[in-house]
Amino acid sequence: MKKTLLRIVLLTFMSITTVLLLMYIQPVIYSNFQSEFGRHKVIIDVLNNKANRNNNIIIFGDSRAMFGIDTRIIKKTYGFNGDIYNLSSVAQSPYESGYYYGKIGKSTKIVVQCISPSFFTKNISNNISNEKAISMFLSGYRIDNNYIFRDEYNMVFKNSVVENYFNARTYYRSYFNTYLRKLFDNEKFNEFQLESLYFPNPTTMIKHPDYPFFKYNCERYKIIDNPQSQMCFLFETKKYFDSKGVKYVLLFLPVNPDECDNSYDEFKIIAKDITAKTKIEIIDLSELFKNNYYFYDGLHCNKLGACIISQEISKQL
Amino acid sequence: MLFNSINFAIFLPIIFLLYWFVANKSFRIQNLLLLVASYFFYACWDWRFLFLLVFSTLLDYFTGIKIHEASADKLRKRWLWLSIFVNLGFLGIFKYYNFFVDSFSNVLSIAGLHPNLGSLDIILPVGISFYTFHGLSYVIDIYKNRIKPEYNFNNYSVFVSFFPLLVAGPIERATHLLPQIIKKRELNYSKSIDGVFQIAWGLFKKIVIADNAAILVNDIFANTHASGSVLFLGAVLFAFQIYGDFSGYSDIAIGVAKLFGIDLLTNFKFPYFSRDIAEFWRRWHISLTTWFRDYIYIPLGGSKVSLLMKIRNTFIIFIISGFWHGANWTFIVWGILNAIYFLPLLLLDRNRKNIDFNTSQSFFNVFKEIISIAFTFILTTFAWIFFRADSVLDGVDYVLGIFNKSFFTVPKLLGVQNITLILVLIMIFVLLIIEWNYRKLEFVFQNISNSGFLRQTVVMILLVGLIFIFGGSQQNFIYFQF
Repeated sequence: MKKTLLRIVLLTFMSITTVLLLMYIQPVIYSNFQSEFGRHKVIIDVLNNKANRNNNIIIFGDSRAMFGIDTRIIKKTYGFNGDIYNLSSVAQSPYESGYYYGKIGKSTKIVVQCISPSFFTKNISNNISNEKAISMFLSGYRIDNNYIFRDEYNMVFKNSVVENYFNARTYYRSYFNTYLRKLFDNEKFNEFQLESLYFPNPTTMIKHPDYPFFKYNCERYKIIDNPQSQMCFLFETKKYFDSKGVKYVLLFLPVNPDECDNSYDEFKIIAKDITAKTKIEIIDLSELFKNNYYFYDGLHCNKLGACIISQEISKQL
Repeated sequence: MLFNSINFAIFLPIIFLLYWFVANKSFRIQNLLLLVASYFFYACWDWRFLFLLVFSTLLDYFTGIKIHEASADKLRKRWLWLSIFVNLGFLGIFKYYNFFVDSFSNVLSIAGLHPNLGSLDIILPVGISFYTFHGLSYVIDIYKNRIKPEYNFNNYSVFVSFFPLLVAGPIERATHLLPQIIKKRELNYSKSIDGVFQIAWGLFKKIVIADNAAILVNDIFANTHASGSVLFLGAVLFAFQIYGDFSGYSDIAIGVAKLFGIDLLTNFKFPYFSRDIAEFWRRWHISLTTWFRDYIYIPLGGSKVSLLMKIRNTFIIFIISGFWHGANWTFIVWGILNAIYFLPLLLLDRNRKNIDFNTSQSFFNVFKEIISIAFTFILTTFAWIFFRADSVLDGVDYVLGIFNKSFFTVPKLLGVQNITLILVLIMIFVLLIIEWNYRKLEFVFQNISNSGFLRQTVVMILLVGLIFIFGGSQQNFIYFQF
């Protein structure tokens, strides 16, 4: 009986040790390997001042901003004497950007927030997903006194380190996904630079072969009539940045006319409302492109589109 | 409480320690502990159904005694039929009521009648098909004088509700399990260590293979307009999903039982290495197949009857088997397909041609075997399509979708699905290689207790590491719905 118990205890011990090792090694792996949410590491590094010593402009947004804005072109065209960072990431809603606002340093002069029609829909969550929160946690993000925007934040930041590291085990797959995707995905990328501070974009000049144009995004995103919580969020944000002496600008990126032909009309009404109520400046590029020539798929611009958008932003800033 | 949950990882060691260190004075106390643990385990799903489980246990306990004590055969038969009627009555109400009402309504609507028969909003009690069959086998065996009734209610209750097998089997027989419950158990080294590894292997099959395959299978089955090659791939993946899911569950259940000094029936013996359908059914869900064989097929005359009766018996057994799985015509079609596959072998008297694996064959013979294995696997996979489909028409659509020109194209999935696919295929390859290597054993890690500590440690670390790193999102076990 003793031998049996001892062996079971030893095997259990080895199993637990393996799991603990795989859990606690994660922040190290996370900071050294690319993952689907690896952008958080880049964003938080910049905000933690590691590369944020100059006058700077920061752009936040979702994947449309990742694909659509090359800040090197803005800097060149604008002639800005400082850095312009594109800190957008996949599905980064303004609510998610809100997690970063409090961490912006004194050297930041302008914050540009890309905003999509989807922000004004019913389905938008006013918080971030647990997956994203864990990624931010692994990147070293913690809620502190600077997080001033909203009382509610993802509960992941309240969890114990052990719990978060255990739940973060799915990231191991994410590293494999990121590396294998380059080899096996039927999206053929010219470049793959998700760690870029300026143009975090799997760039491609050709259209994706497997994504036909869908009307689906328009149908999915039914803009609501009275988006109070969103307006409130923008109002609070404007107030916050005013107090810090930072200019806060909203950016509407171009919409593929083949994909969405009507929802932008509603979006524009809201835009007028935003300007009237919150006095936030808006750069409206929603109708910049009249055909899908500048798009990689139904939503995202190709490199040519990004070049034109970036020039346009620099003109309007 | 799922086997693949943190709750169970806490529950199991606590019960294990109490069992061997606190309740070890006598097997009766151990049984009492097992019963309390089992009822707690079951109540974690839905405590209200605990009453049903207790009622079912009481019913079979008393009818078993009454059958044994009744002197007149007529009275014995009455008690037997009471047990069968009530047991199947509960199963019928909870599992099949809505199916019959809906099917009857459909038939009437064809005749132009639209009566409001009213289906019920019934939740299926977890494990009802399994513990009902435990109880039925017990009373039938007493009726057939194969066993004597167990007069100790606690012992009998453990036989019905022993937590590893309570919700998804294996479906135990009183002749096999009861004798183990009514005697003192020892903590046996080889049994326990084998059990630990069987649990880990079961978790690997469930968490790494089945749960990851489920992600792709759900997407592919939801989109029957995909190319033929993608649909075929989806069917193959489902074959491995259901195997990983159910055989994984069985491995965990058997492994856990071993930790308590109890042997459960083998439920899977490398079924995808079967060389014909008859062999497949001797290797897949063995405890259910043998249950149907012993309590339905053989009483009907089995294969020792006229040609017509042989065909009738085969269809009966497979249709009931399909129907046991769920109240849907898809399961019945699945059963019929398997009967059609099986019949030629039975009629040509070749259904017992392939019994054991011969691992010392020439290359040519192995090659021949692999061809037979591949053919059998494709037949099985084809039948699984109906098992997985939401309706028979969906299943037909799916099959038609496979058989067109696009079957010969490279299967294309979108985005990260490709990566999940690669991961799943690699893991299936690992599974097949390991299982092929150990196919003569009862299960993969049968003799690992004879290995040194270093080998055991390396294997355990690899399994735990793979489960931790590549585990898919937690999914329910498929067989819980049955």
